[in-house]
Amino acid sequence: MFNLVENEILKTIFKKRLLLILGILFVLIALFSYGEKYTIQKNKDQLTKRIGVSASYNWSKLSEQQIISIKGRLDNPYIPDSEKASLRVQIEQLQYDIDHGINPVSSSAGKFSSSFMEQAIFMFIPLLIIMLAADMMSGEASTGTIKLLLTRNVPRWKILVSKFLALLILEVIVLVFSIILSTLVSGLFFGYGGWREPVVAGFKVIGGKLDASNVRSVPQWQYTLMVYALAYFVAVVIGSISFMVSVLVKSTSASIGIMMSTLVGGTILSFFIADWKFTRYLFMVNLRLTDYLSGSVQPVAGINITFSVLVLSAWAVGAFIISFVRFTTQDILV
Amino acid sequence: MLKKIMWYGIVVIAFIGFITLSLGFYQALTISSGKAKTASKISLPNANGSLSASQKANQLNITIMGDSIARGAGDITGKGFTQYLPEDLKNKTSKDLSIEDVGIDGYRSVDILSQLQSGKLDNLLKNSDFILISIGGNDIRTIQSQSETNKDQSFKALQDKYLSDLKASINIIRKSSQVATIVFLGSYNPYLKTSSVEDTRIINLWNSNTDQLIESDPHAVFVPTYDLIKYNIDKYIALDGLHPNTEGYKAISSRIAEAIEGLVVSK
Amino acid sequence: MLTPVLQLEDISKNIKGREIVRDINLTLEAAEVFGFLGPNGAGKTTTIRMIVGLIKPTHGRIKICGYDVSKDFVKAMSNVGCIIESPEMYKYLTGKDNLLQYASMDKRVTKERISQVIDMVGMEHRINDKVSTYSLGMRQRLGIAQALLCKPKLLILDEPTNGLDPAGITEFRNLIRHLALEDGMTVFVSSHLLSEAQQMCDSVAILKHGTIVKHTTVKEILESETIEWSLSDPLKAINILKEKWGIVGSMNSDNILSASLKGLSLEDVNAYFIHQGIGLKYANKKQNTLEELFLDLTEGDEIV
Repeated sequence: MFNLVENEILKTIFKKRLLLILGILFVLIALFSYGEKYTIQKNKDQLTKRIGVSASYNWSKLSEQQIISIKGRLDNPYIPDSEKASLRVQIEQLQYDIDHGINPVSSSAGKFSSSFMEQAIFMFIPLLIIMLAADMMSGEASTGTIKLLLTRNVPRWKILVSKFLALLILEVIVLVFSIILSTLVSGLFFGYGGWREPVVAGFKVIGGKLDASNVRSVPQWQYTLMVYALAYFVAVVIGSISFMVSVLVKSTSASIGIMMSTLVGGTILSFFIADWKFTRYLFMVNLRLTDYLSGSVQPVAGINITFSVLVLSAWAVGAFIISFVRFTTQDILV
Repeated sequence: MLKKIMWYGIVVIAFIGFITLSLGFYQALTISSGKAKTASKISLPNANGSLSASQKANQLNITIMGDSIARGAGDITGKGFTQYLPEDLKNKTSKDLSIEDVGIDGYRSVDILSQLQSGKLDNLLKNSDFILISIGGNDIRTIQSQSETNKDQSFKALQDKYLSDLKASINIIRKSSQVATIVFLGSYNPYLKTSSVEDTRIINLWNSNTDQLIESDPHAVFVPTYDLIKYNIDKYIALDGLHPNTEGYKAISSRIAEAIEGLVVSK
Repeated sequence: MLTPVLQLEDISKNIKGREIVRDINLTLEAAEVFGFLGPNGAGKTTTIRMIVGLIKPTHGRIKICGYDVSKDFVKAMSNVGCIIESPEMYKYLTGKDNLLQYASMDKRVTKERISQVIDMVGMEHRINDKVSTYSLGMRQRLGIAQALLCKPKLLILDEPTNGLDPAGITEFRNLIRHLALEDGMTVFVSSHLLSEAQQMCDSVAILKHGTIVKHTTVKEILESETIEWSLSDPLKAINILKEKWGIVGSMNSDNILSASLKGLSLEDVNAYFIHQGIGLKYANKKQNTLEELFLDLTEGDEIV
């Protein structure tokens, strides 16, 4: 089995598909970093223009004032309890920035790598994984090499499972490289620090409303790790579904097309019929797992991280079972 | 040979990566779904009850409500009007001053409406002699950042909504207290240095319409701030470029005190 | 008795309600070179795909070295090397890497074996080039090499001489002969080049509309020689043939007598004709070719 997985990995490498994906990743990260740098500079300029003094020199005073202001809010008995936990973490963040001489308006490699993945998790990473996974089986079928692969003294299910394992490994590689690349590239712009800064996490969605009562701070490195772990989970789910399509469809471009249109179409669909109960069971609307960490609002109300993870797992398992049954029984006619 | 090295490299990266990502995934799940260990919550006395109990005849009750300016954001002490208003008023009355601030950062007209609708403030308002309201700054700021082309259109819609919310809010206040004096703070433009003519026109229109609405109530007064801030931005606006600073709060406080001086003496 | 290398028992296959292959029975022994012939669409490739387990028969059983393909797939396939249709390899890998891919899937294949098969197909010089740079003939050789990796008892080659030049074809023919004689390999070749099959195979089967219409040895076909005579008295000769040797002759409109001698010596027959006073203008030995048999059986169906 190990040797079969090795074969699959080497094939993907020599096919340059992995290289292509990492290349796209690099270009995009570079563009994102530059964009972020530009936005920050623009914001600073605006602030400077407005206040009349250079904002960059006074950020610590500003932060101190913000802390006082938040403390004032905490003392206010008319603030709902659920907001207070979030306020306390904000104080902690500001205090950390002051103590460590970090301008809160600026970015860092740590901040960038997690915010990049928060943006990439529902569209960009799935697209890369589709490019990788949709070729796994249909790539062999469209070139006819599947005939030589399936006439070895190896049972079909082993071929399938080894391809699936190879895909799981390649997905780790993509995620590991995206964290490495985003750190290396954004570090050039923002410096390589920022991994110990506290970040707000721990939002819950209860009854369709955001509950911030359990909000607490985690260090940036841990937050980034969680974001990439969720992205990996999304990659595995999208990978499994693309893998299934790749088993069902003989042509690589057709299976990439099917997956991409499903992904984009489903996302659009969820905006139009957000109140339709069925949409919450679509995998595309459940991809923004990092929103549960950062507390952003979901397009479909009434779903939480457990729900999303369960729905996504069900899709992945279902897709694997369909691939398995179909692949082990199908007639190869190419 | 190269292939073997590449393969083992990938296996090692994948193995370590997988373990780490799995740990991260577990953490993410427990943090955002599980019963995370919460920091000890600061227990606060229920102000609603205590206040109504401490109601005395020989006391002047002021309630401050609305947005971050009502709450005191930008002030070095974070207290804002609760600190400076009594200083300006204490010489003018023999009564004790009691100030309650229920302002919440980021509030818009719709938020004070729902705050009032919840009924939580009913007791407080019933006992109030003065109700200071600062609202609208967050409403108007949403269109200031918009492009010029659709500003006019969205401004009209926004203003209609704001005025109807404000009207409804005053109606609710009047259910609790018919005679309390409502003091409404007008909006100023903190972005004057980057503002266009259109922005200035909008904010003046906004203020004048609010003024009309406030003045339609027999016990309400509109206190402008626009003129006070206009040429004193560097002096009165805090480092965040948005809220009044300590000096700004002091200046607005004295203006409020002047506006209600006659009433304070008589009450 | 030895287990036959390949056994097909009543194999049928329906695809989308159409019967592609019907009731095929076939048994191949060790060291046999077998030609599987038939016009386009007769069901050759479908049959081969069933043998190697790519598709499942609707009905019937296939055994390779005694192992049922559908039940004991791994054991059955351990004895098979094959090329189905054209040899499609991974174009982005070198020839050597392609072989390594397949070699790693079978523990029995050693490094020595890999260089051995490269030698056998004469690919030493190009084996480290990318397959995308190969000609069809090179790919065909590489295809044979991968099929030989596991020293199969049954080698299945679908149109193996496609793309080979005449020298390559001769080389290939010798290789097949060698494999059958020296290694005792059973070779199952499907081909449309009938002359090829005739030169290479021990036995042939001709497939038409999904059934085997003729299964015979090549020797048998070749032995059934027909002689054509131009004689002064062909009617007398027909009688002589019938009375003396029991041979049925026939005469065409040009008064040419033709008959099959079934092992008799032509000189003896001619001497007897002369002895009987029949004038002999010429006698011509005409071999019955596979091509003729094929055309005869498939009745002008298109051959590709």
